[in-house]
Amino acid sequence: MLFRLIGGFLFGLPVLWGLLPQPAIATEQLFALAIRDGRLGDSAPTLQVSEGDEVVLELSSDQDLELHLHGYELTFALAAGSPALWRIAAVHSGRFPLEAHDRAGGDRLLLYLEVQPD
Amino acid sequence: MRRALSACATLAALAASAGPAAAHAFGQRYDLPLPLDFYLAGGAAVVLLTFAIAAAALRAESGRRWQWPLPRPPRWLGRLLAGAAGFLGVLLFVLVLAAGLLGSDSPTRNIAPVIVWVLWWVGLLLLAALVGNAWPRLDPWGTLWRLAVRRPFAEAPRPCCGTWPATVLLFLFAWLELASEWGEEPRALALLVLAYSAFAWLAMALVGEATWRAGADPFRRIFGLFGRFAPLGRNEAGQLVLRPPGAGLLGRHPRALGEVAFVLLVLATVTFDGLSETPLWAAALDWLAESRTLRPLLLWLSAAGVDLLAAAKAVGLLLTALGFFLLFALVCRLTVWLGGAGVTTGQAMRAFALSFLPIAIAYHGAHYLSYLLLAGQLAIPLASDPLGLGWDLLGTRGHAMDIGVIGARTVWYVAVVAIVTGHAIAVTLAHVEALALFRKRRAALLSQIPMLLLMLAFTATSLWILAQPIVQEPG
Repeated sequence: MLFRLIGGFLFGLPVLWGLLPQPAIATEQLFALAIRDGRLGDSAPTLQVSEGDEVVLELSSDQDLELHLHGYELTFALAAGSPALWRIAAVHSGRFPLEAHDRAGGDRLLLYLEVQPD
Repeated sequence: MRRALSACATLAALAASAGPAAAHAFGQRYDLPLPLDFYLAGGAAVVLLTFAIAAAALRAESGRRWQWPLPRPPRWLGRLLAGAAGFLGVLLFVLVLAAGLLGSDSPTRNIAPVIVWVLWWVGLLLLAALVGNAWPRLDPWGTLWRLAVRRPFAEAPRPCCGTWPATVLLFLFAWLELASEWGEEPRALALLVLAYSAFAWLAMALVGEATWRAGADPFRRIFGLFGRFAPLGRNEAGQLVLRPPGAGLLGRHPRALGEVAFVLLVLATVTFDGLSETPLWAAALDWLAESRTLRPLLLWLSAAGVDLLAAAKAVGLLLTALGFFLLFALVCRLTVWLGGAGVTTGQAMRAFALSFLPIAIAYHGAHYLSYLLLAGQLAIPLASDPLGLGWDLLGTRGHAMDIGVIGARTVWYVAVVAIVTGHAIAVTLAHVEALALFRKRRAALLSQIPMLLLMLAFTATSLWILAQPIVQEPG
């Protein structure tokens, strides 16, 4: 009896596993962003990704900036004239503002990162 | 030329809804807009429930039976709890003042704004609505006053200034919360608390504590209203009762128009808080900044040192509140016309005002749920080092905010369920009130048509706001 139970359990495991929601396969999401004068065009764009994605920002700027992703509390130093890649693992869902701090102490909204839940 | 340039800069700042650069992330919310399927499902549920409740065979007296008395707790326990709550209230009051005046300048590194805005204004208010109202026992102004003057707790309020002072004070408080930068700066916040305390105690000395409490204290009144929604509360006889959420709002109508206006101001405040983060509000600011007719006025105001964004929000809040009040008055007029039986519009306004409160409470919960869980975490490290002196009282100094505690999907489910439930309770309350107000059943049912439409409009607005992306300038 016990063996049957254990056998049934072992047999049932893969079935159960198949029924459970699987985490989506992480995809890489590439965005090329050219920052001019501390901003991206007239209005802040919204980048949409899914939870679990790897966000890759291909950044360039004409001035030294410190970028700050709110909520995730990540920062990235971007030097003027030298393009750089910023990789962010989108592990939390939500809508997060990314802002740029310049040397003068001003800060500007660059974009929103929207991470949709699975 | 120079002047024109600076004026343009001011207007551009208004258009981008950017305040002066203050490095804070205090009011920051990271909610995703409600997706279309949640929005539609919520809307459909609301409409279905409205008709189902209107068709249900409720009776006028059904509301009175919706409560079950609880055994009276032993006297010593009641006294002990009241004493502990009074002490805790005064302790937190002193902590807010001490931390605000002596602690860090940054709102997220000072416990004063966290206690006032997150724990008290959002957290305790929600607790008052969902469990029971603890504020009368915690209220430090009342406790300290009674300690100082040693007057008996119960003293009859004198007719003095009506019920409007509380409404006006709530408006000022709402403006401080939604528009002004002062509320977030620890120093300014502590000074405001001091100024309010002086004002409250002076008023108590002039008109008596009971009169102040009944007519002017905005916090006693809003906590009292939210507490009447709660499942735990006291009935007319002062007995502790358990009741379904919202049932405590039946009967005991507001006696004056000032109290009716207060309820609608609460609804307008929570709605405007959400509205002022939508792209619609940003577009309205854009329009203001580009309007040629208003430009001279805006330039003059800006030259006079007025913060245009805070002024725009004050006007927006005032217009929302006035609009809600006028709409409500109009609907009550229609209700009376359809219901007949010699009921005046004023009577109807007093009878139906409290029925709208569940909609405000539901929106308050849906709007602030994730904020409470995220910004509330700021209190964990700060509790160990409240004055910013490098202490580690509880060993939680190093706690960092974890934004993973609640996912976007959970927030959506809770928000839609809260909005739909609040609407269903509101419709039920209005229905029972109508049956009590109008003698004839048929007339009562007919009278509810405009009321139901207004409630549908408010609820649809709540859902619509939740489905908008949050446009907020991070500081």
